[in-house]
Amino acid sequence: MGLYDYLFLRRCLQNRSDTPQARRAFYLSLDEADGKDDEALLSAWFSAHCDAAPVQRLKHYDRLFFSILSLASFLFGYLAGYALLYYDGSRPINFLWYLIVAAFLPLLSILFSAIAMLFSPKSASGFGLFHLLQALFFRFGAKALAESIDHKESRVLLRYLFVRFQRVALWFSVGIFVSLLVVVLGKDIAFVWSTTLQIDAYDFYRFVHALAAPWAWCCPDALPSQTLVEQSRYFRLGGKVSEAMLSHASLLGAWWKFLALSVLSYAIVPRVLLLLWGYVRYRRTLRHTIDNDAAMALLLEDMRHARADFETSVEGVHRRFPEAKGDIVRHATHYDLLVAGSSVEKEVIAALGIEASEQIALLQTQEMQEQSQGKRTALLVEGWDAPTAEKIDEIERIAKAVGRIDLLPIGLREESYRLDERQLRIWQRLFAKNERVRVVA
Amino acid sequence: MSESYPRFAVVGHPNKGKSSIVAALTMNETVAISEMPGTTLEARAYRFELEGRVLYEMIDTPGFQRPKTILAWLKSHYDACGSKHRTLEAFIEAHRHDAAFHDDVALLVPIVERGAAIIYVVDISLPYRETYEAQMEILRWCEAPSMALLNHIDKRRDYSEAWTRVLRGYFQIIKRIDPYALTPKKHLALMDAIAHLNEGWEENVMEAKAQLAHFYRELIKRSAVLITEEMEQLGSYRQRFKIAETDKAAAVEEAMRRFKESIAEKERHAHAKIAAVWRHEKSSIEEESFAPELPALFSKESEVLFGLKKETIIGMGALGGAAVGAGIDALFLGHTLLLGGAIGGVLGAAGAYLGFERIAKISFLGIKAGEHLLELGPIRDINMLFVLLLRALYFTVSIAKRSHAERDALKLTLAQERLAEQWLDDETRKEIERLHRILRQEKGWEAQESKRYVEIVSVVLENNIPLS
Ligand SMILES: Nc1nc2c(ncn2[C@@H]2O[C@H](COP(=O)(O)OP(=O)(O)OP(=O)(O)O)[C@@H](O)[C@H]2O)c(=O)[nH]1
Ligand SMILES: [Mg+2]
Repeated sequence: MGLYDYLFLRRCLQNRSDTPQARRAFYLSLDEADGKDDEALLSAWFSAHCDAAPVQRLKHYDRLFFSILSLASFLFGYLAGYALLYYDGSRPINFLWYLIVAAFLPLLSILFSAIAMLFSPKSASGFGLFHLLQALFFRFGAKALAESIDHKESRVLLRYLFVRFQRVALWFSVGIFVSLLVVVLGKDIAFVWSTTLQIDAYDFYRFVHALAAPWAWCCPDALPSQTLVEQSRYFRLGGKVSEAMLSHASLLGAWWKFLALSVLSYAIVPRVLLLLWGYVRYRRTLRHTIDNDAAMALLLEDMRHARADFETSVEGVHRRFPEAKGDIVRHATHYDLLVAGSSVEKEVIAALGIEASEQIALLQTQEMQEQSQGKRTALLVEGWDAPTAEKIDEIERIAKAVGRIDLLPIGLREESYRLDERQLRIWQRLFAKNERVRVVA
Repeated sequence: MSESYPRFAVVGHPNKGKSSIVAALTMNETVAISEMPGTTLEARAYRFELEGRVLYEMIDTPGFQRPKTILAWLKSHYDACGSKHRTLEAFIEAHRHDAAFHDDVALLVPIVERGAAIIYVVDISLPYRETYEAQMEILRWCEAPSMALLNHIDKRRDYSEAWTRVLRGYFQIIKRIDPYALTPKKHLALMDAIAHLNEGWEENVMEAKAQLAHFYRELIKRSAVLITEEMEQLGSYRQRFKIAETDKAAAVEEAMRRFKESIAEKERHAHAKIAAVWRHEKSSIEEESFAPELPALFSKESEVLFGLKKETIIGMGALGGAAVGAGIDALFLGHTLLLGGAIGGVLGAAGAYLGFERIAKISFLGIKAGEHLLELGPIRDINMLFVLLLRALYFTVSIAKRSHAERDALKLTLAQERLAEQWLDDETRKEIERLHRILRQEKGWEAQESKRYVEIVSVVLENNIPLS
């Protein structure tokens, strides 16, 4: 898993809230899940649950951006090398100048980079980094990402960019190196050395020897001899080339091996080493960051460990009730007939303030029909408890026998036999479809 | 009988809180609950599982609708059937497609055909009436292990004595339950009662209890991780705004407003995730929004060009190329000397020559070279971070204790949330403050600081969401 995968996975995790169950189920659905390491598991989870397009896009732009930069750097190096070695035969080439640009300056830059890496801030200020990324390629692929880089991420990002830029720099040196080979191949060049400083040939020879120390053991060919050093000293006196020099012009080309190995040893190899070092640091930081990411640890744990959980997919089935229509009216003070079960006592009726010409208990349908002929009838039931279908049937039977009734559900004694608004509504809804029953309070 | 694992059918008169109890015991907000008697239409099993293996299941059933008729039927058919159990089977067989007995059949099937134990629910805020006798008789006919749960729906009245007297004649175990105040601790305690219901299941139920305890601990840990993540995000949150030169004051104000809104939004999102951990919909919670004071924010304003600050560019120009190439403003860190130097030199020269303002106006491919930026955040006021933490803690504990039977919104106010302060002793508070200070800094938290924070938050949550 690379940096970009990590950044996007982190965001994806932040935005989702899936259950441990779902994560475990995903794990179990994987082939050979047990054999997978953390990164493989995280990657598998990422590709199954998150949108991979932005990561791909960002990776694409990253590649594109750095490829172009590397190519430019290579060409720049090549051209620079070519220009330094520009030789038309009228004047020999001072390889000292070439060494400075192609080996010493890069080496200096490598040193700077190494120092910068060692003493780099633990993370970049979000501000600067954000703009760097904006100025680079993030604006094409991941603008929102660039805006939300936090401290921990910025550190990894810095190390990643370090590696990327080191690579670009490496291409510069490779360009120089290649140009040297090409030029040497295609032309004969007379290399000389020339300096304003008062250095005699022997001192310079020792200096060159010291420089060649890294490869002296393997390529004695590329070790200039003292004679070569002496022969290739060049004084630009009125632009004339000394006779002596001309006489052994063919020997002067021998310097190229020395130059090539200098570029290799002082620009390319150290750069490669720095690059590797940087890469190891980057991978380690990334690893460390991922390992210490609590959300990812949780994801891995959820996947790896079975955990008991409640089933969530089942849903209870509702019975739908019609809405209550209209307000609940109060019962009349006088009824011709009052029907009340045995549990409803005289005292209750008195307390409710209902007068009735006649009161009967629950009777068989036939009798009920006869007794209630043309009378205004009220039915009293215990209303504080939820009625069962049995009770509702009974009420409906009476209503049918009587024709039309006022149903008065009564409350508990503690509540003065009255139901509250909410309870009354329930009763009303239970009989909302029955035209014969009117719930009264 | 099918697979043998503990099953419990929650049965009773309509509207006694059967579904509420099942919802609370199975952390399921979707169980149908309403004030209308007869809401539950079908028996539904809610399982507690480990890797596909059912540890136990709670079955929500419709209430008894025709107990008297059924009892009469049973009595009259007993002789023909030979045993009580067979009589019940015969009843179910005869009425399986009878709409009038739909609910009663649904209630009896789990007990008679699937071997579920009986949890009979009564409401002790209403008096006992003989009509209940038929229900209990029928349950006795089932010859299944059984217990009674006393639900106290309306706390103003208490008929528990009368109820207990009657219930003792029918049930070995009688327990109280409050499905609307079912904390993890009470949930675990109830498992003990359930375990003793049927000796054959004791081991299974105790295993389930251990798993349940583990499950709750996991939820607490998960919440602690989410809180830490939230604090880390909010504590280091910065936002950048492009500021137009014209009407700058208004633009700054607008940026401030948007920053505040982002903070509140991030907090809402984090809390929704915590709610989801505890199986609650965020929509069932009304939390007063967080509204930080504006001056409490860090802000800085600067001008940038190609991502480089003006000072940097001028600095580069002045230093001239080479030396600065190694790494300016931590940006070109590790960059090649030549490339960095070249860019620095060119920009520096151009900057010095043209002046920042002029370059800033150049645009290339629609990308403006220069912008005026306002960066807001992170939250400077250490106390504000503290309040954010208190809110998260209070929210988590409230949501952890919230019953899944609850259908009214949970209301949380800012004043309420300050109460969480009492949960922190001096030492904890000091350590939290120390961590918050680190969080505010440029470098933010390292792994060990995040870990420590998770630990602290876990302890606070464990103390306030007791499991035993
Ligand atoms: N305050 C309070 N209300 C409760 C309690 N138990 C149940 N209720 C309320 O009582 C009503 C019925 O609850 P349900 O859980 O649907 O009861 P039920 O037994 O499943 O009902 P049916 O499915 O209709 O048989 C709902 O409005 C609940 O909110 C309780 O302990 N306290
Ligand atoms: Mg129900």
